[in-house]
Amino acid sequence: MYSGVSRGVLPFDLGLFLLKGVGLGTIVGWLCCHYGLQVKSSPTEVPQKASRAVVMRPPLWSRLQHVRYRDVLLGRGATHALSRGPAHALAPRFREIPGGHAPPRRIICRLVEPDATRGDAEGGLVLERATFSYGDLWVLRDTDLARAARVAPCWSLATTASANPHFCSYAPGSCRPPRAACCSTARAPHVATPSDLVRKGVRRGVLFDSGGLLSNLSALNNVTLALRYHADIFGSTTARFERRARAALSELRVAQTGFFMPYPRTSRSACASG
Amino acid sequence: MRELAPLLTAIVVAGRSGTAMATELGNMKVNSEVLALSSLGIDPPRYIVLPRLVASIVSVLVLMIYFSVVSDLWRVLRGSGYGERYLGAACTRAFPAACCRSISGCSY
Repeated sequence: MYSGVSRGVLPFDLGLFLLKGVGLGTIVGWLCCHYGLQVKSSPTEVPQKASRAVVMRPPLWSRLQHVRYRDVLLGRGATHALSRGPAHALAPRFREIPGGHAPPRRIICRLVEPDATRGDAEGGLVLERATFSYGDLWVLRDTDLARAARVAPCWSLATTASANPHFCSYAPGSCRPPRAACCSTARAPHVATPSDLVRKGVRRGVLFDSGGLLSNLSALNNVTLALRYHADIFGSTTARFERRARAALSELRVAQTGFFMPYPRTSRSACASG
Repeated sequence: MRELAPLLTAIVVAGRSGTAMATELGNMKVNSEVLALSSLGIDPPRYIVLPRLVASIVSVLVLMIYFSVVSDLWRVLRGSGYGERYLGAACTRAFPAACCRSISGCSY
């Protein structure tokens, strides 16, 4: 039997077999990720896109040449809006809050020109004070971001109007503030290397309403994720990252292993000691 | 091995795991988790898409090999005469009974 198989299967067939496996695996994984990331904001889109990812494959091939995949993967809309400044980035999301009323928000920022003599190699918007709330739930209330950032990276908890627990982070704890301020670079990151600006020490994206918890990670892992991802920049150890995250969570009185945060009806914020 | 294994394996993986991947990523997008990753300086394609892509390639390859081995084993069993006996028994007794059960909608 095996001699028959070895006679029937040539090395060319074996290569073709492996090539088909790699090709089909790539197509299946890539198309499913593509359609999954095409979902915009409504949960009702999820089953539609999921079924389209499996069933509606042939029409996709005709569109492949016209789709800018990197933009889709990176959520181009939000990144693009962020590049025009925080106010533009936040404005579209206010309309999603039921009730139709925009929550009070005020962001005071100043434009910083690149100045090598002061160590500001990257110019951008420096946020100084911010006020932000979801309805009657205050996330930031005339908070001095510069002072908060000078102390340490800060984390703030809030719930969104859709009752999703969000872990809003401003001055994300991924790196120490180099200039005692939260900085939006006022330009879009490069699509291929979006974390380059962070690696240069630039705060990219001060989050007020879109810093979502990763639902399949515990609270502790959510906090340490960014630290671990950028571990090569900090040159620190995982244990130190965990200590830092645990300190921040205990200050916020949040269960570290929980997947759902017990959110109070009042906003809380705390500083993760650097 | 040449034609059937890649095709059927890809269909099964797309149907079972592909929907799961698309659904998970869709839910992540709805909950702004992808945006949160991007804002934290984490590269979403590298962190979300690349592992799934690699896993999909590896799983399709392994399942193709598994499919080929099982189909060859079945060929060996058929060659030894077991297959004919099994199929004969299935056709004479089990298959009509299964049809009856499916029509009546009960298991027993």
